[in-house]
Amino acid sequence: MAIKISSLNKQGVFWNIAVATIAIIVAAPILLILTSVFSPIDDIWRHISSTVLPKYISNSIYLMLGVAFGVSILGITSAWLVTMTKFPAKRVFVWAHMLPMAIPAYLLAYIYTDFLQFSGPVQTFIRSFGLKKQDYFFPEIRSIWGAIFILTLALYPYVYLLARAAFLKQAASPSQAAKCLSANPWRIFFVIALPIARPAIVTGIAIVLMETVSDFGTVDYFAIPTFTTGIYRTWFGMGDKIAAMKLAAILLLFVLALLGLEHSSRKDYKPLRQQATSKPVAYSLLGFRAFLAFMFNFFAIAAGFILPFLLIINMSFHNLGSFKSSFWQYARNSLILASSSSLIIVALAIILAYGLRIKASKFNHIAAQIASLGYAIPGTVIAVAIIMSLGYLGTLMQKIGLGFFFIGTLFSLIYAYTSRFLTVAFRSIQNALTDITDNMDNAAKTLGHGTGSSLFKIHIPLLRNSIYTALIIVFVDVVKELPTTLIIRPFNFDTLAIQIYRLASDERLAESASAALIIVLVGIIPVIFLSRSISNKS
Amino acid sequence: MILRRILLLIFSVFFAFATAQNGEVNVYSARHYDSDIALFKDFSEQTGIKVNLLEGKSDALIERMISEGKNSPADILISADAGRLWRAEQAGLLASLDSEILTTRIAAQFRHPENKWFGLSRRIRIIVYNPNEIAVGEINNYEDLADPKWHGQICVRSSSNIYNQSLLASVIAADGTVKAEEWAKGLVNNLARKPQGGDRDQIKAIAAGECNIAIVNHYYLAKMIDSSDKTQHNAAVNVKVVFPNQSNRGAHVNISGAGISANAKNYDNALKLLEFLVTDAAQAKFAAGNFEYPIVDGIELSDIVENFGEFTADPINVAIYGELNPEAIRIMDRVGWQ
Repeated sequence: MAIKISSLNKQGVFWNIAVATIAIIVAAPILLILTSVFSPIDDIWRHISSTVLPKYISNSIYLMLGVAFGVSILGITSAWLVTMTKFPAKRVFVWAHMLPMAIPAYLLAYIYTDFLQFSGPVQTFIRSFGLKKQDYFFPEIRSIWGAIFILTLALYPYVYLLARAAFLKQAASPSQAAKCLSANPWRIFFVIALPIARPAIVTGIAIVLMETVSDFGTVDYFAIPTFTTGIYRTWFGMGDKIAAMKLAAILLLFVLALLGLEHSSRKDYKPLRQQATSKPVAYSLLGFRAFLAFMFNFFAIAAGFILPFLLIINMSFHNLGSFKSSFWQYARNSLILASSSSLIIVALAIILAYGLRIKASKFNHIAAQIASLGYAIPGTVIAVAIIMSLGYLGTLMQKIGLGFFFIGTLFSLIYAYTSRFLTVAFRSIQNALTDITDNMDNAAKTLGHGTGSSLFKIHIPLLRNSIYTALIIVFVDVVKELPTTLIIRPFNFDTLAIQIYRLASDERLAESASAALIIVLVGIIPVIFLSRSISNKS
Repeated sequence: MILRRILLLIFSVFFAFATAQNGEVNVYSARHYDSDIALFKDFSEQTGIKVNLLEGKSDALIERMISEGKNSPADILISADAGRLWRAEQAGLLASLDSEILTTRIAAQFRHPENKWFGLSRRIRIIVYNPNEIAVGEINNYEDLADPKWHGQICVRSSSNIYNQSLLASVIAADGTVKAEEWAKGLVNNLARKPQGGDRDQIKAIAAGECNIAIVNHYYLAKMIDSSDKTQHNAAVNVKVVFPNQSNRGAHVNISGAGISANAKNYDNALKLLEFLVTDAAQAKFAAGNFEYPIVDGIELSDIVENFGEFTADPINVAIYGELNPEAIRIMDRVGWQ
């Protein structure tokens, strides 16, 4: 018996070290940014805080509130409808809600602006009836409302995915019990289903908000001064790296506080003591209600995917000459990067989440929190921080005679993606792990399985859906990723996202449509493929 | 097992990509034009020297060079703006070049005083207007745009754009900080809409009737005139061009330019490439492929650009744009130029 305990302790130490190592390596660039909080206040900092900082803060907060509201309404409602009710075409909607993920937010911003702006087709059509600028009202797409609209459409699938997974997992019994007691569906939704799904939903919103604060493409295109645009302006306009890092660090502290809220929202949450054994009850919607449910889902997907996709197709149809054979090369590069890094990142996320479950030291908890901040840092800023860390590492290795150099290798790219995207995978897996009761671990222990073998025999099979979800999200994120790829990639190595950036930066939007079309198609493949394996199981 | 695989992957990837071949020229470029790639191809065909290209944003490329330090594989840095070259030089990234070809072909105004970077092509920030609403000769100088009579009629992109920052820097250099701030304030008061979009969007906005005046880089107008897209073409041919400040300092010129890295491993071949880029043939490609003004005089312009007419350019050394860039942004922040 004594031998067994000591071997278990050893395993605990193993997980402890594994978690600490991963977290510290991933967190290195983030720590680099955080340390700048302590740098002295300089003149530029004074200029910023007395002129534009209040605007940055208020705009960022409005943006976050708006997007949080938008994705909650779209994500939760659609997840509830397709999971817990029956209405026409529901089976299509189940996977179609993931499609908007395939379109990068910046692309969505370009397309909608082109479509809705004053000189675009919609308003030109309105004016063709003889109206002038001052004769009619049309909402300005390049506004904070426009940015909320774009980011909501681009990001609601995150909440949808996590909420749906949570609704699916819910044991049917509480809802069934409630149904027997003839509680109405609204009551069941608000009193039972929503509270049980809350941690997953909060995780989804946290991910969305991190992506919102780090978004640069949309807010820059719309010229909305937010924290992110401020960081870029300070760094690249005024050439003050320290002040910019300081702004980024403030943003991170804010995000940390937000994540603290998320964490505390879990405290009173008790995981269900059983896995869902039966299918959840599904309410059959009839007549007008079925019509409403159909329309809600249809409009979300139409606005988030169908319309922009058709506009891209239309645009690339008018620019057939812009299809080049080199696109297959770019698509191949995007695919290689996305598949290899999504596998690695999800594997690391599993080790991290499981390791924290086995043995959670305070140090590791904090390290994991910091390591998962990368998602909230504007792309170019984290990219530069990564380059700086790799630069230090390279110099260090050279000093000890290894002559090993990192920047510009695929390894450095995957490392960078890990720093950026580990959060998404880590949070969705950690969230799902809390739903596996400790009894499972204990049973495995009693049967003589070590922590490693119970991870493979018990946890990973139970986590299957969440692992697939994490793989989809990371894969699509890497395909869409621009700033980090742009600065860390090797020579003569372009991806689809980079091709779009090249053309868009020369304001050749129409010509970039063909690359955009392919990026969306590449993004759709895993979405369909993996969502099938998720729904097959359920 | 997994660890061994990961290590194997790391090593194979490392050897596949990080080894710089001797003699090949490695270019970090912030220009994203297909015509540049064609130029590098020409160079390789003529000399047998391979060119490896990494495109990115200039600031990020500069940061990468700083982080890579002595190990940097970059031989040449190309930027689409003089201010960024100034910044790279300030960071000690660029070597002083001793090339008679470069110094004789490129006017002193368009290169670093100690020859650490050189202009390759010129772009002019012009004013365009709707001739149906505004008479010829009503707008002559950048300074005129602050006149309250243009209230609600001007379109310009956001102040985060480097071309606007350099323009304001040139106004500071010419008129002083106080007057430059008054000018920026007047300009902002005259805007027809919140600054947004790119330069082409400003021209489209004139066509759509949203504003009557816009500030844009000349080659965007040329590219729109050349465009097969009817809407773009029509919008562009219906505006009139003003080369500003012709009776005084001249129109604001910015450059695309390049320098050789202080840590270049292939210095000789890099210099060959720079010298190739200022040959008549290469310069003609900058003009024909991208509608820029060549840095070397006497090169044939594209027809469209030729039609814009003759103009006098501001003779100030473009390095000043980099130096005054932070000041320009402060002014923009203060006057609320978004």
